[in-house]
Amino acid sequence: MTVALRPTSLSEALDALGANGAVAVAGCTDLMVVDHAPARAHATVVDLSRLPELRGVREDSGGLWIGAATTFAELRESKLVRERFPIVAEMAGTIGALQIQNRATVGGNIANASPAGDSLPVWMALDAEVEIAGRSGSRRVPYDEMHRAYRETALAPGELIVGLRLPAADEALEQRFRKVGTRAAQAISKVVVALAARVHGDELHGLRIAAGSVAPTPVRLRAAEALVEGQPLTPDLAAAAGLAAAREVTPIDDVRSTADYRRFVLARTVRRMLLACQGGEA
Amino acid sequence: MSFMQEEKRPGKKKIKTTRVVNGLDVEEEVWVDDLEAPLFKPREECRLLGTRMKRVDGPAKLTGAAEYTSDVRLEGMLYAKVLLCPFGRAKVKIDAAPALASKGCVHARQLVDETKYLGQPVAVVAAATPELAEDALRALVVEYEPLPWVLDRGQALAEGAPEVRSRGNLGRPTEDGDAGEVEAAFAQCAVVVEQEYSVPVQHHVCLETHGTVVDYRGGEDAIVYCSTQSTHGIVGDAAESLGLRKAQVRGIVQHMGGGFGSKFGLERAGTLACEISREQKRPVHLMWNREAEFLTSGNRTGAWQRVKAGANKDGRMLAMSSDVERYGGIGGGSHAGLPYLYSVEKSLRKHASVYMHLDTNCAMRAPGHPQASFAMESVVDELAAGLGMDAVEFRKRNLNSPAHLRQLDRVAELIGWNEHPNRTAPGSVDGFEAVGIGFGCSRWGVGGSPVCQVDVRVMNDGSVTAEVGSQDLGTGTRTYLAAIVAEELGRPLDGVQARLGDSRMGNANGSGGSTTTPSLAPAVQDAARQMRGVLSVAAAEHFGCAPEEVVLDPDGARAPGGKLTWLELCALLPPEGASVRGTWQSDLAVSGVACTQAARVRVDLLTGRVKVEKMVCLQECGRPLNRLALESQIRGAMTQALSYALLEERRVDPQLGIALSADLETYKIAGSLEIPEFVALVDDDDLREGVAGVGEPPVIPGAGAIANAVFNACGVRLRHLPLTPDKVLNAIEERKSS
Ligand SMILES: Cc1cc2nc3c(=O)[nH]c(=O)nc-3n(C[C@H](O)[C@H](O)[C@H](O)COP(=O)(O)OP(=O)(O)OC[C@H]3O[C@@H](n4cnc5c(N)ncnc54)[C@H](O)[C@@H]3O)c2cc1C
Repeated sequence: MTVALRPTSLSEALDALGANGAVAVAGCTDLMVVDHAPARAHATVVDLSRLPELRGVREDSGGLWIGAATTFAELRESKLVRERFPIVAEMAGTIGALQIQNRATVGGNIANASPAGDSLPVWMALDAEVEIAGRSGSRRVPYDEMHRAYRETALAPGELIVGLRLPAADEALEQRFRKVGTRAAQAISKVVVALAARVHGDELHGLRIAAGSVAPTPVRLRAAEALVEGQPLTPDLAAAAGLAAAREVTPIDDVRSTADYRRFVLARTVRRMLLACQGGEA
Repeated sequence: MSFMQEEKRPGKKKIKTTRVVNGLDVEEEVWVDDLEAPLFKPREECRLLGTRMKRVDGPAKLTGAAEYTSDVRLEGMLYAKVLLCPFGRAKVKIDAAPALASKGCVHARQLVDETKYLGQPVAVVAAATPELAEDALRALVVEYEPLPWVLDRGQALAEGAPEVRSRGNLGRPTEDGDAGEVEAAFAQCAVVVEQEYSVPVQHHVCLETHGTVVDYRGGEDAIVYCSTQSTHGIVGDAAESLGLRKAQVRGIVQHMGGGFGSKFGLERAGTLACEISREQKRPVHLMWNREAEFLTSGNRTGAWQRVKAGANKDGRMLAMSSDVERYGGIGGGSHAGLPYLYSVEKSLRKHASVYMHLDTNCAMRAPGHPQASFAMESVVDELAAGLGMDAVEFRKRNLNSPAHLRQLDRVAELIGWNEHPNRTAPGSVDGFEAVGIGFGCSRWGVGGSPVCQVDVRVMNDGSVTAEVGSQDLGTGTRTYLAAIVAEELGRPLDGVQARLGDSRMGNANGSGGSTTTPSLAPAVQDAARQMRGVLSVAAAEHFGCAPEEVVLDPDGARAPGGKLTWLELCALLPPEGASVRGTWQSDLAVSGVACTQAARVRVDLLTGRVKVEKMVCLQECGRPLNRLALESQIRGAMTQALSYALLEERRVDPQLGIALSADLETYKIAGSLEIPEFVALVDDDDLREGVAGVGEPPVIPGAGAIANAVFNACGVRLRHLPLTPDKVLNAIEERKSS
C-alpha cells in the first residue's frame, strides 16, 4: 500500500522525504508513466503542490526566480516570463500538449532528467542556477553542473529543487529555441536546442548553446560556441559551428529517430538559429 | 450471395422477414408484390436529404451521455484483463494461484502453453475493480521460455528459420499474365521504370479499443454489449461461449468508437468475457488496452512491391510486371494487385505471402488497396516524369472512366495545379523550402446487400420510430435512418426517433466494404414509402379522395377535400398505430464510385520535414444523403492517409523479439496540428439515384498523392512509407550530391 502525504511547508516535506522509500511527486506526469511498470510501487509519496516555498514566478534582482512547482502552463502564460525570457514561454508551450502543460512542473522536468527534457537546454543556455534544499540546509548549483550522467542529477537523496534563478536579461540578449519532434504536438524531442547571446554588431558575445536528445544528458555545445564567440558571424561560420555541434554530441538510434538524423538536424538547426540572431533565416 | 439466381415469379418479389414463434424471432422468406422501386424524392424537392445535417446523436456524444461499450457499468460486474507475452514466441508456464489469492480476484488462468505471435494473450484475470485486476495480473507467476521467432522478412526467409506454419514461411506465389507478351510490350516503351516500393504495417487506432461487456447472471438470457461493426454478427459466437442458444442472446451496439474493419466478430476479448461470465454468473467487462489493441487485434498488411512499368512516348502505359510480397504476420495479408486502377495493356504479376510471428492482418478501411495504390500512383508519376509529361495529363491517358477524367480537371484546378510552376519537371533541392503538388485516384465497388429489414412505426399520438439492428460506427447511420423517414413523411428531422444497435431489431449486414448505406438506406426508403402509403390511405378515407391525391408536407396532410395537421392525421390511426417493414431495393443502391485527390506539400529542405498544406478530394457517392457526414468521411479518410504517408509504422526489434511501438507515444498518428486545409467535396456530377457508402475509397489514394507531391516539390522520390524526415533528408542529400 502506498501512503500519500500532503505537507504544507518545505521543512515538513523534507522531513517526510527522509523516510525510507519516500518519493516526491509534483505533476506526476513522469512518475505515473514510470510507475505503471509492475515492480514499481512506493511506500510513501510526498505531494509538493502545496508548498508555498516552491511556488510562483518573481522578479529577482533584474532576473527571475521560478518556483520548482510552477507548471508549464503557468510559465507559458506568465507576463513576466514572456517579457523577459520569451524562449521560456515558447518552450513551455511545446511540452506535451495543453493537458500535460497544466500538470507538468519545472522541478519534475529537471529532476526526472530525461535527455529529452525540453526545459533543460533552456535553463542551460540562460545560465540558470538551481536552488536546492535538504534537511541539512540549502545550496545553489549552476545549471551546467546539474546533470551528471544519464538520468543522474546533482540532487542528493532527500533533497528537493526549490526553484531556479535566471540572471538578468536585457534588450540585447538574443534568445532562440527550437524543438524538432516527430509531429507538431505531444511529441518527445528528436533534437531540442536553446541559444542565448548578446549581439554586438555582427558578433555574438557570451554565446551559450545547449541541446537535448543528442547525448545521455543535456549538453552545452562548447565547440560550436567557441567558434562563433566574438567573431564576425558569416553564413560560413554559422555552418561551421553547426558541423562542430554535430561532432561534439553522441546521439543514439531509437524508436523516435536515428543518430545520423539527429546529428544532421542539430547541425542545421544550430546554423539556422545563429543566423536568425542577425535577423537572417529563421 | 445467392439472391441473384433466385426463382422468379412475375410481379412478385421474395423478401426475408421475421416471424415470432413461441416468443422467439424466426426468419422466413415471403413473396410480396413487387411494386415499383420506391425512389427518393427528386433532389430539388428534398428538405433534408442532400443537405448538411448535424448528426442526431451529436449532443449525446459531446456531453458524454452516449454510452459506449466501455462505459457500461452493471451491478456486480467483474473487470477482466489479459497478460500479453512480451516475446516473439515462447513456451509459457503460469502459476495462477497467487493471483487467485489476491484481493478481489475471482478468476485467473493461463490461456496457452506456447504462443504463436508477439504479444499473444497468455493469461486472463477477473476481479472486482480494474485496479484489483491489475494487481492480480502482477501477482501471476509467469515463466517464459523464449522460442526462436521470425519478426521480419530476413528472419522469415533465412535458411533453417523456425516455421510460422507447416508449409513454410513463404506462401506459394500466385501468378498471372503472359511473360512473353509483357516482354514484347516493354520493347515498345519509350520510358521504363523499375523500382521497389514498400508500405509498413499500419494499425487501425480505433479510439475505442476492442471489447465487450457481458450481462449474464446465470439463467436463460444474456445481453452482450460489444464494440463491433456487426450487431447481428456477434450473437452466434457469444451464444457458443456462454453455452446458450442464439435466441437467448441479445447484442447491443449503441455507440461505437470506430472499427475500420477490425471489429467484425465478437473477437478474443468478447469470447473471454463470455467464458468468464458463464463461469462466474456475473457480468464481465473486458476492454483491450492500447497495447493489446496494437499487438493482437489485426492490422493493415505491410508490403514490398517490385514494379517494372513502361509507357510509350504518347504516355500510354503498355507494360507492367510486379512482384509483391505481403506481410500479414501469421495471416496471409491482403493486396489489391497491380496494375491498380489504371489500365496497362499487358501485365504480369506475382504475389506471395511471407509469414512471421506477428498477429494476423485483418480488414482495414479498403483492405489491400492503399498498398497497391501507393506503388501504382508512384510508378505512374515516375513514368510521367520520365516523359516530361504533365502528371494530370498522363493520368488521363491511362484512366478509362469519364468520372476520373472530369474529377482530375476539377481537382487540379482546386489545388492550384494550373498555376504551379512544376507541372512537367520537379522543383530543386536548393534553398530552404520547396512546394509541390501530387495526385492520386481510386475507385470502389460498394453495392448493397439485401439483408436489411427496417421497421417504421407511427403511433396515433404522432410519434415516429425507425428501427433496424444495424450499427452506427460513428459514420452517421442513425442520422440518415431518421432523415430518410422524416423526408418522406414530411416530418422534421427530430420528429423521427432512430433506433439501432440491437440484435432484436430487424436484420442488417455488418458494416464492411462501405456497404452499410447502400444496404440500409434503400430499405429505410422502402419502409418510409410504405408508411407514406398507409398514412395517405388513412387521410384519403377521411377526405373521401384517392390516396394519390394526398400530399404529406411539414404541415401534415393535404388533399382536395381539405387539410389535416400531423397530429390530426395520426389520430386517425388505430390505437396501436401503424407499422411497416422495408426491405432492400436494388434500384436505390449504386455500385462503383470514383475518387480523385490532390495534395500540396511544403518540404523543409533543411530538416526533411514534410508539411501537407492542402488536400482536395472529389468523391462520387451517388445520391448524397447527408453532406456533412459524407464530408466527414472524406476528411477522416484523408487524415488517415496523411498519417499513413508521414507517420505510421509498426516497429518491432527482430533481434530482441520485442514490440517497439505498442503505444501511442511511440506509434504516432497525425494530430490536429498536422491537419492541412481540407477541401472535401461530394461529386455532384454523379447524378445516379442510388446511394453509396464512401468510408473507404477516399483513404486509398492519399499516401501516393503526398509522396508524389514531395517529388514534385524537390525532385526526390520516396518509395518507402512513412516519409519520415530522415528518409526525406537522405534523399535530398543524395540528389544534391548527384
Ligand atoms: C503525454 C506526455 C507528454 C510529455 N511531453 C513532454 C515534452 O514534450 N517535453 C518534456 O520535456 N517532457 C514531456 N513529458 C514528461 C513530463 O511531463 C515532464 O518531464 C514534466 O516536467 C514532469 O513534471 P511533473 O511535475 O509531472 O513530475 P513528476 O512526475 O511529479 O515527478 C518526476 C520526478 O521528479 C521528481 N520531482 C518532482 N518535483 C521535484 C522537486 N521539486 N525536487 C526534486 N525532485 C522532484 C519526482 O520525485 C519524480 O522522480 C511528457 C509526459 C507525458 C505523460
